[in-house]
Amino acid sequence: MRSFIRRRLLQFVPTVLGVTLIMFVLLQLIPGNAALSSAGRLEMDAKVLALLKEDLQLDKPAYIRYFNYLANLAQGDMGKSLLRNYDVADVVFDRLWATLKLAFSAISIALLLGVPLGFLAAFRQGTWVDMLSAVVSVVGVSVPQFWLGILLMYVFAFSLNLLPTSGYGGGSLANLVLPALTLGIGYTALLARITRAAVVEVLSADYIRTARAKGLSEMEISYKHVFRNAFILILTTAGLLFGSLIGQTVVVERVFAWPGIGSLLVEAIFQRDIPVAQGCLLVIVMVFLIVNLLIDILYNVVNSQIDFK
Amino acid sequence: MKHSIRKSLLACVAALGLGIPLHAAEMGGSFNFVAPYDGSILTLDPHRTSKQQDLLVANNIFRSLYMWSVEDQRPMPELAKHVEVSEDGLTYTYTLKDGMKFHNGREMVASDIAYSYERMLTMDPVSPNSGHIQVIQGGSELQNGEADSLTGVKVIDDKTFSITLTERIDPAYQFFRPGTAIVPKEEVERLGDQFGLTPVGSGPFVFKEWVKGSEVTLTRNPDYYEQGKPYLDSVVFKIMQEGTSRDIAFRSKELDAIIVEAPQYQSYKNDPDYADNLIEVAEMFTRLIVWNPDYEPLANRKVRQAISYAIDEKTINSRFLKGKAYDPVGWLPESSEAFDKNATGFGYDLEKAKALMAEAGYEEGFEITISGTANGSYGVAVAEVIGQYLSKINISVKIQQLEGGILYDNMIAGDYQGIIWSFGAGPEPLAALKRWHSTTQNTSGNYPHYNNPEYDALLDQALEESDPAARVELLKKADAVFRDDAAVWIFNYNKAVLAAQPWTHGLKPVAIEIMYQDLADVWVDSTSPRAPK
Repeated sequence: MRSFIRRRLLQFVPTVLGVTLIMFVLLQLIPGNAALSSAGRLEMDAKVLALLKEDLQLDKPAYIRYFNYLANLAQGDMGKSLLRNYDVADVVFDRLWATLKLAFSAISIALLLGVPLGFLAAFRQGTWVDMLSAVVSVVGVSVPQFWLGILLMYVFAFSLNLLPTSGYGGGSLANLVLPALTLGIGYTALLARITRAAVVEVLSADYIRTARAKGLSEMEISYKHVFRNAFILILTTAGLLFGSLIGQTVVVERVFAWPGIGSLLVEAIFQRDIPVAQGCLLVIVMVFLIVNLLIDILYNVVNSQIDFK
Repeated sequence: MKHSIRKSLLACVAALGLGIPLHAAEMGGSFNFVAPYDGSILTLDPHRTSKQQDLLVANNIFRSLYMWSVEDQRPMPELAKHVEVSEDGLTYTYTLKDGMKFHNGREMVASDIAYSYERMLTMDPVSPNSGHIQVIQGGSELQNGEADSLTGVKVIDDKTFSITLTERIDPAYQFFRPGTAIVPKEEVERLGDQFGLTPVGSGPFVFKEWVKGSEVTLTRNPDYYEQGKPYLDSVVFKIMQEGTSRDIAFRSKELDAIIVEAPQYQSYKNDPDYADNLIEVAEMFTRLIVWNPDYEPLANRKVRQAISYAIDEKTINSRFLKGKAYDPVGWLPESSEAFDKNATGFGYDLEKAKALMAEAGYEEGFEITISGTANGSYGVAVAEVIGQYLSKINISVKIQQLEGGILYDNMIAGDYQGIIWSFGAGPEPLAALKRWHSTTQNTSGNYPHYNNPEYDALLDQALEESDPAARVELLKKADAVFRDDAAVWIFNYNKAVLAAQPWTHGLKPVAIEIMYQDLADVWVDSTSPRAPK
């Protein structure tokens, strides 16, 4: 187990290196630069603009900037924001917690609603429950987050006056509910479909028939065999979904004025604040890698027969 | 008697229009405002940013030497009680008001002004607002490292200082900008980079808290130099970029005032609860299409004029933009001192347009690509409508949607045929018109390389003219020359709109940028959910 974790951690190094290179090249390819963006308005005194480019080292070749970036990164320095004049790490980590909270809540909603819904649909295959779950899932997956967010805001905040419309509210639970629901509903639907498929597959396996033949109760079969076997697929999917969630919070963050990393990333790209954009992407990649490592470890907890070699 | 009644009626109407309270202001309460523009707030150090999103907050923490006066429609001295101008019009001597204190309790002195302007010219990276300070003698030398201090600013004593300019311009239009605010040296040095995160100014509100990406909270400055102000105990700027979300939050009474976008404008106009609480102003932004004269058909003045005649901008403004725009005359907007009230724009005249196209030899028409962003008020959607009009004079329009930064790069490189955009056209008319002077580089705003000796001469004369009225006349003429050349197609001046809750008082139609509200004047009455209990 330990050697597995060590090996996986070592694999992080080439992955992160590869990601930084791709990121750097892609971000360099976008026209425009931070010096212009910091003008805020389009027009700026030409002399001031030239000075600003020099100060921001935008006059140096891209490969030199990349190696400087890597050298600093190796020492734990993510660089300085071109527009904010602060350390990228401060800017990014200031916003990471809000996104993690949102993503964790959304995936929790998806797990708590989607998995039972999937189980129910699988056990009641072909009945109206299954049909209904399919319809709900398709609707849940297809509804655009932007529209859903505004709708929930209109109903729960404006009409019913139950929750605040938007904002972080100092991290209060009331402010978290609507953005988490908006983000979670789509993933609930996805997880319900995947759970159903996994459970149906397990239910038709030979060992379930054997278990039934041995006279085990449905309850025992469900827990000991179906749940534990289907859960591997569900867990893998949930892990992947959580990773992608971090990168997909931007729409919800914008609608609900939620101060997360997704909106920061998009903003940094528009402002050509490349170090901040790189910082955000790097953190998102790291979260993705760590979550998936944790999921792999969890396999062992759920089913100790899984071989880590 | 009759005269005085009319006068007081007029005063009432003016006061209503300006949002000036007619009854006594109430003290206390909190005010929830928005920071509605793109992106988070980057810094609250006014010298480090020229973004409206940052400055609309900083504007209430700091004060500049001058401030925009809505009542006077020009910048007025803010920190000085007395200003004296030398005979050559180059040296201004200021005497500071008494009892002005920074938020750390120290009194503001003349050397703070010298320090602030020197800081802007010497900071690293360079201040994006330093262009405004370069009009001071020795400014460029200090910025280029050829001098150690700003020779044009002389501190005479604690209360008095003089500023000598390089040319005869009105310094009010440079030093009123929120980005040229006065900062306390000891706090800047003590806080270093953190000054932008925990700013210390001399404005009506003191910085309290900034939740990154979410909101900034300011509290009342009890030592503010204007007696009895500010009225509010605290102000919260909520960072909200999404118009629909702002709309719902405002209607749920979570916000006290918001900026209204075109899609929501008519619904507020028709809503009896809010129709009387809209504050509208012709903001000093002119929406237009820049034509590239390097594209052969557009080099022809008659073709450009034909385009101007062929498009009915009034219909576009009233129907497509839902009336959230003012119909244009020339480059200078209605709120400009040199706006010509008697002039008319091209108007819609299809026959004349066709005749001009024939005269220019383009009866068969040509193809043109108009590039723009996704902006609803001055982006590709408007260009689509224009395409319909231009098809009637056989010009076929292709639309290209680009992101703002890329569009700007193309504009500088001359890699475009037509670009639809919104340009700042104020507040000082000469400076605004100077954009189209042949000596102005394209990086500084003369994108179509406009070059008309007659226009240049009028501006040069205006610069030398000391009689303000004669100067305005010259500027009006210059604006007319530019308009007739149709180097750009102008379709409106932005109508900026704020919607306020009925309990909000004192918001004003600020023409330079409606979000630059001086919240020292704003108060809420007891019906506000955030009024003091």
